[in-house]
Amino acid sequence: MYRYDGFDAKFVAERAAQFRRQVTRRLAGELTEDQFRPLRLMNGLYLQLHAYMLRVNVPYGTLSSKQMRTFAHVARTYDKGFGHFTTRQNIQYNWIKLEQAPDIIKELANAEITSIQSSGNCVRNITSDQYAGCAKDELSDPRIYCELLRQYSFLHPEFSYLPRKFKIAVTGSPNDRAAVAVHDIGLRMHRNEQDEIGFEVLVGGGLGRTPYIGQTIRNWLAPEDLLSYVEAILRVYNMQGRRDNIHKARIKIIVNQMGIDKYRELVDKEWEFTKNGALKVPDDEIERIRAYFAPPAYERLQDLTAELAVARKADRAFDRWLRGNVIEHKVPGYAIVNVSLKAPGRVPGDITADKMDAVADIADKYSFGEIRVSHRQNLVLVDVKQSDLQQLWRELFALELATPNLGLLSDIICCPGLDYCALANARAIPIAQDISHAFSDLDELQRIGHFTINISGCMNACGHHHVGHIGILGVDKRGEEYFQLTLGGSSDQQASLGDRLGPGLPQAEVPGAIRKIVDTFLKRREHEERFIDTYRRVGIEPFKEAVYGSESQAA
Amino acid sequence: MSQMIIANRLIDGLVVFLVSGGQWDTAIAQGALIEEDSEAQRLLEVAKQDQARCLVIDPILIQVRVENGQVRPTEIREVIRAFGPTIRTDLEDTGPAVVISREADRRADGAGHLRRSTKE
Repeated sequence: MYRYDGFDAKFVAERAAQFRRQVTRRLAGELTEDQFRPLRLMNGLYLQLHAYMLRVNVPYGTLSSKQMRTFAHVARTYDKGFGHFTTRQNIQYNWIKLEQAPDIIKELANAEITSIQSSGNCVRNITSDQYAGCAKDELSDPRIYCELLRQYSFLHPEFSYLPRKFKIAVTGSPNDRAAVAVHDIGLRMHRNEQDEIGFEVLVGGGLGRTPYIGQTIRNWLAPEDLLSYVEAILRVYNMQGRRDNIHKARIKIIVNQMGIDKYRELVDKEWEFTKNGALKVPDDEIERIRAYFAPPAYERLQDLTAELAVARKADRAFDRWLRGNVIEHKVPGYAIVNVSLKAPGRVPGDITADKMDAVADIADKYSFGEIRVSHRQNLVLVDVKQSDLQQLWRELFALELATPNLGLLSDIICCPGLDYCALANARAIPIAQDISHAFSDLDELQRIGHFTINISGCMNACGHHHVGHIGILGVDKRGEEYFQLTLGGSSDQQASLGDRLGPGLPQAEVPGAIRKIVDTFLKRREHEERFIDTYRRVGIEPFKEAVYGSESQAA
Repeated sequence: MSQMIIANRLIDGLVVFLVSGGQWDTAIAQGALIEEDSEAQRLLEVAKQDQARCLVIDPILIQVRVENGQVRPTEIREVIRAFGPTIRTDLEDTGPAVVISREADRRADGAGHLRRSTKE
């Protein structure tokens, strides 16, 4: 994985020292909150309902066991013993004290971790496929390009005060696990007839108050042109984006107002001046970065299909976990193991310090000391020998980290909601807990099949509710928490935004409504259809009727 | 309906309530119950001076009521701020889990809209 070079290490250490001085001045009364707020936000420090919240970057969701232990140490020493993994593959701490924040940032810097640009109107953490470098369906490792973009956009003076925040995601696989279509820029790798790698560039996707699926601005972009083209998109946005209205400031608004053709024209015009200039990425630079992501020392192994079949037959729970949470690896004899942070009744994405340490130990023992974070708020061990799977499963099971629900209905995305967040209108976590309790029967979950539920506590959509098969949005209705359901959203290569089912429901009625939707799906399902396929075939009406009754049209 | 002044303490962000002696306390039970609007405005000015002195951030007036001898904000958001998250009951030190009062109770009290924060 990427290691800091001399510049990175020096800069991040200097920034940590600078932030300490800023905090000292604030506590001494030399800075007002208005003066200090932008300074703390530049370092990912928010003020939430109960305390300060620190958001820490996990670039493209890849971290070492050492870094995970640092996360555990921070959780234990400075927080209440846990952390929360987010849909940007980052970690958030909910109980941070301002006076201790400089110490935390310094400790993170020592482990080559930073919270810089995890907030503010700049390019945020660049996200990617959690299986990058190991997935069987991958064309090439997307993290090389993520890292290239990270180095380019980190503290870029021209783009440190954009009209609004800016999110980029990259997938190296045709099966999009990085939700690239709902990003400000989404990069989708393709391979051409000459066997070269290039990117389809999507622009103007996003969720929040005004959701859009990104549109293709360019079908093919050679890797050497990646920086200059992304810069052209950013520069046009920086000049054209609205700064008068925070709700209309994202790139998606201008792309959709002026139209993709006009936006493309402006970008191409800008790009003309720069495409053959200093930002041309030389092959050796790509190779230099690629070296950081060199595959670990895999052993020459065979797939253990027959041996695993015997073990599976002997142990149903192991079999269920293997089928559910373990993914094929591109190297024979290895497997990708998903570590579920979605045990029934638990808070999606939360993990205690002790479990972080345990996962770090397990990663050292079984997976070359590397851990991934998925945007669906789970962890992944990407390089596990198939011969270790059963022992690994036992260890994860003992830690309550082996719930075999990957991609199933209880594998819920959920934002912190009104339990922590100053922006939220309603609590999101209790809804996730209610649903995961109501659907904890593993046989039933498997029968239902692939199913995504995404929950946000407000329209800012940190829980990606627009792109859940079922989306749940918490709203404030005359001082009460209500929950609006949307159906048919998806964030994969066939991305779609959910359709609103009907009027909001009180919390107590949500699990029952989900049950009715699932029952309707099972009745209407053909063959082994996924919910999303059935929904696209039959439309919203049967589900509307199931939830609201036949008079639903009046609602 | 009674009022109270709530803020976040600068040094650690914890939720605090203005006490009658002019100090701040993390327990809502210690907060000064304010009955008159004129008194509420006067104390809010006092609280804003504490903001200027870098003791607290964003002091505001909230509505509270006394139920079985316990002071409780009327809005869900402030209930959660006062008593802590309603989840993570597996951890002891995140504050007690809060039972949000039933819909009908709050309707009867005429609880207003949630106050929204500025986006950070």
